[in-house]
Amino acid sequence: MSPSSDGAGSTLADQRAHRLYALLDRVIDLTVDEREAVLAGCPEDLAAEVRAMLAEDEDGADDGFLETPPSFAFAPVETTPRQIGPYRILETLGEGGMARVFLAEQEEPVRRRVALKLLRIEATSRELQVRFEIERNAMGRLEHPNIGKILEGGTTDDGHPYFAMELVEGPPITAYCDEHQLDLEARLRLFAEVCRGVDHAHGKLLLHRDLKPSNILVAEVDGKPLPKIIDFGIAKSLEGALTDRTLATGGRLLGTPAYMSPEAIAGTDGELDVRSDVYALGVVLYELLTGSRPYQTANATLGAILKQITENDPKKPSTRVSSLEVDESAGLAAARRVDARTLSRRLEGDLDWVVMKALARDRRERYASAAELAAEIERYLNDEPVVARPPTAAYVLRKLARRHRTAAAAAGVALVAVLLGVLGIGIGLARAKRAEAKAVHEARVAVEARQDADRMVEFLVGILRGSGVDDPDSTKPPAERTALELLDAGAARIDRDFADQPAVAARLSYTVAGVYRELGQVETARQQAEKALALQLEDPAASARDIARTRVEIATDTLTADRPDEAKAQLEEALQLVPTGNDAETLSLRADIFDVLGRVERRLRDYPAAEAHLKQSVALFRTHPDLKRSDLARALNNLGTTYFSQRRWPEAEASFREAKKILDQVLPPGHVRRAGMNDNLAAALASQGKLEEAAPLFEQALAERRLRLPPDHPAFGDSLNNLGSLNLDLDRPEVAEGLLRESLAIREQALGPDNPKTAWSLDNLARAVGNQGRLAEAIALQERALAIREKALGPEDALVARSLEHLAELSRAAGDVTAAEAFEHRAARIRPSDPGNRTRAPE
Amino acid sequence: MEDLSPPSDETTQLFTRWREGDREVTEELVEQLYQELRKQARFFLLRERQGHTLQPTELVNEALLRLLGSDVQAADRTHFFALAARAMRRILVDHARRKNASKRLGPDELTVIETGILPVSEPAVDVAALNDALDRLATVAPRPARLVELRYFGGLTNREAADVLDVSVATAERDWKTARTWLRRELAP
Repeated sequence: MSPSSDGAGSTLADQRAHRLYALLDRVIDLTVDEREAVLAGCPEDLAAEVRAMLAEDEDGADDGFLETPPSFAFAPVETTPRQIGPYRILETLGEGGMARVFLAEQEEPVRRRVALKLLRIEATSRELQVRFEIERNAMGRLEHPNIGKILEGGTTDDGHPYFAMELVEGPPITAYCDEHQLDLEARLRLFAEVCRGVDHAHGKLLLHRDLKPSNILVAEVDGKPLPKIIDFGIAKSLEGALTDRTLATGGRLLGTPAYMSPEAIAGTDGELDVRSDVYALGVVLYELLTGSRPYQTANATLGAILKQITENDPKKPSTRVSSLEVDESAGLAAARRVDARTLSRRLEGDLDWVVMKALARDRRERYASAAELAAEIERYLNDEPVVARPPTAAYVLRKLARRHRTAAAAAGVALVAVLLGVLGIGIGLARAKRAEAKAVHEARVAVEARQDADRMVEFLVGILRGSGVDDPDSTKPPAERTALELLDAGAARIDRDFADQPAVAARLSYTVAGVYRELGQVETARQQAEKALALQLEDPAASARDIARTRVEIATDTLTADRPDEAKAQLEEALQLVPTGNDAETLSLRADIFDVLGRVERRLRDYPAAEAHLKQSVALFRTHPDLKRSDLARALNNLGTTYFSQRRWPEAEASFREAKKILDQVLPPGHVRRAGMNDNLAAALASQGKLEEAAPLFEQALAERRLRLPPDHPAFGDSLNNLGSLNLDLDRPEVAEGLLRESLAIREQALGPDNPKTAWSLDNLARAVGNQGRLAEAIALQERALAIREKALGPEDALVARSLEHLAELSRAAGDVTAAEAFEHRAARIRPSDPGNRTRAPE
Repeated sequence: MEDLSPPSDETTQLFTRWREGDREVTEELVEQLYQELRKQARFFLLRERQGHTLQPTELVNEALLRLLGSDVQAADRTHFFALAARAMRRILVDHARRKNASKRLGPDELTVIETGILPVSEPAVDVAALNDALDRLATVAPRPARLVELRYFGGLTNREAADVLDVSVATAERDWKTARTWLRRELAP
């Protein structure tokens, strides 16, 4: 029945339809008898049709026709494949929006069962496939008992990427803990293992991005629970593929709302870092402790969930538990083997603080790494003070007094260090200072005067309370002040409070100088150190060693300010003061002096002297096993740089290699020194033509930077360009092209379209494109590079010639001899003889 | 991220004009809603496990929040839903057409990526045929056709739909019965 289907009859048909509808509408609510009375007076064909319609409706009275609006789901109904790659599919384990997971079996070379994840997206382009392979390789590097291993991967015939993963048989961690009624300690121990696993992956430069209980399964091995994290890095590879695919079709957001950090919701994906995973771990911890998630998401709309996460702090775990209905909290507590009141009380205090720190909306306030969170949990389990708790003087001193009775009474310097660490000046710093404080304490405990320590404690409590500080403008309570503000206030008090105790004042100034240096306040650091030095020089009891230490610090700050001659004078004074002896402290002092002296001499281009002193420093740091390994790495790096400046590549390589090995062991992944180390070693390798070896290091430096720097940081432009040109040299133009395009985009954004560095990216990209035979495109790119260079560097620059020569080459390949000769002619005027083929950017 | 755009001024203005009786902007508004709903659906698609289903009203609620912000008056909310019903209809019809066009067995992956929305189970009715039948009904009896759109595609209750159409609940009920009986005949195999 189609009233308007034929042109001429449509008017008639329309009229009939109108009449029919009117008639139906008229009788629809009437009784059978009334209906018949009306229909009897109508044309028979209309009446018959209306009767038929009513009869049909009668028949289907209960079928719900049109009653239920369609609802939507997020996974289509699909057929299960029988075979994927070498794997026979046995059954479906789970399905999600982006992927399906199968239980699968491999027969050759070993018979084993795996979990096989088949992605719903297609990787059709070469570039996308290369990207998946890079991701897979990264995942393959994970080796940790708490991480489900990625065994291998590939792409199906129709272009769907898949991953074969270790089969983990066990429930999600939350379900496991409840089923086994694990108490809080047992839950925390499992959770700390999970954190360690996550940290391992972070160390291999992989973020998880979708941590949640269903991705943390607990298997039992020898009767003991073993948590295993699955799907590491898969979210990332999905995102990579989706970027290309969905730009035109709208937004994308990967993750699970309840476990997403505010920055994951608000920012671009590139801004995620290890702390976004830390946040998700915080949500899991919240759930393990309280049985519910931080935000009530059950019946909330998506918008409401996201709004909550970005705008509100969740309830503290103890508050959440105590606000539950009695029967609910009783069940919760029973699953944790305590009663409800005890549970709330156990959560109150340290655990509340730890959870809330992990969940801080500002990621700078979270734990800096999963390892830190693990360490915090372990501290709690060992009855040690947690760093999450704000440093109220009472809390800190109570904890300190309990754990370090002697130290608190005697070692003032150690106390300063620990307290400043607690203030949250920086985890790395706190750790370093704590280690240092311990050493200092051990060396000095015998000579510490008890009354000094008492005054010192008072001073510190003063800083922490923020009372009586010389800053009438500040009305903020101490907890809200930055570490720097508190430090400034404290530093100002040193002179006043310790006027009668120059030794204590000097030691405090020296310590405070070190903290300023860590915070990047070099000038203030130098001033504090100078102050300490002045006090020490007036104090007949001051030890030569302490004075020498102070001079080294002043020299370091002076060198940073690029006044090498002044720095050298300080160091020569310091060297006179070093006592004879082979104890750890003396050795380390001497090594430090030689290290800084070597750097000063390198700056003054006195390479032989620099080399001699740095070698001495390295030798000293090596002699004593107790000296800090990162100091040895620092000296080795300085030595390597000195070789590098003299173009002694193999020696530079050897030094960098050793330094890198140490730093990789002692520093957390993503540490800025590690990225720098990789770049140095890669540069030494590339300078020797060892491109195959340099490439992964550049890659690693790039990845390290990705973890910590904002995605549009120009340092990425450099890394990507280096890596791209390296791949160009390795005859991998497709890989090079992707990297160089990224580099170009970042540089255009960060440096501007007319920057010579942007021209380098264009130049290299032109070569990558040209090497793949896309000549016209390559010519256009190189012409852009040429225009920038002519404008920025002048028409006679060697780099202009470089562009022209490539244009000539491309034109000739394209068969345009006239253009080629014109380019050659222009190049020859600038550069009469060919200086050799330089394809790498000298950056 | 694109799908978390703040309430759009443009949409608010369009909506204000529409509410004040300017029907020229209807198509434009529906188009914006259509895009927004697809984004919403994509959003869900990417993050939810299978088994989680979503009513049209949930999707539309999200779109409302996103496009007009949270402090929208009840009457405006109803109007918004009326427009959204048309957008939902387009989404479902798109899907049905694509599916009908696809000769393959099982759903086409590309379809998922492109539309980002799928009915939880295939609706009992042939949505493409229903769409055509509704178009025809609209030439015969516009208001009942609109009512079906609001209730079936927009997920509105009879009372809400009556509000939108500015008729009594009894009238809406009667329109519904007649239109349903009519459409059943139209869609009969």
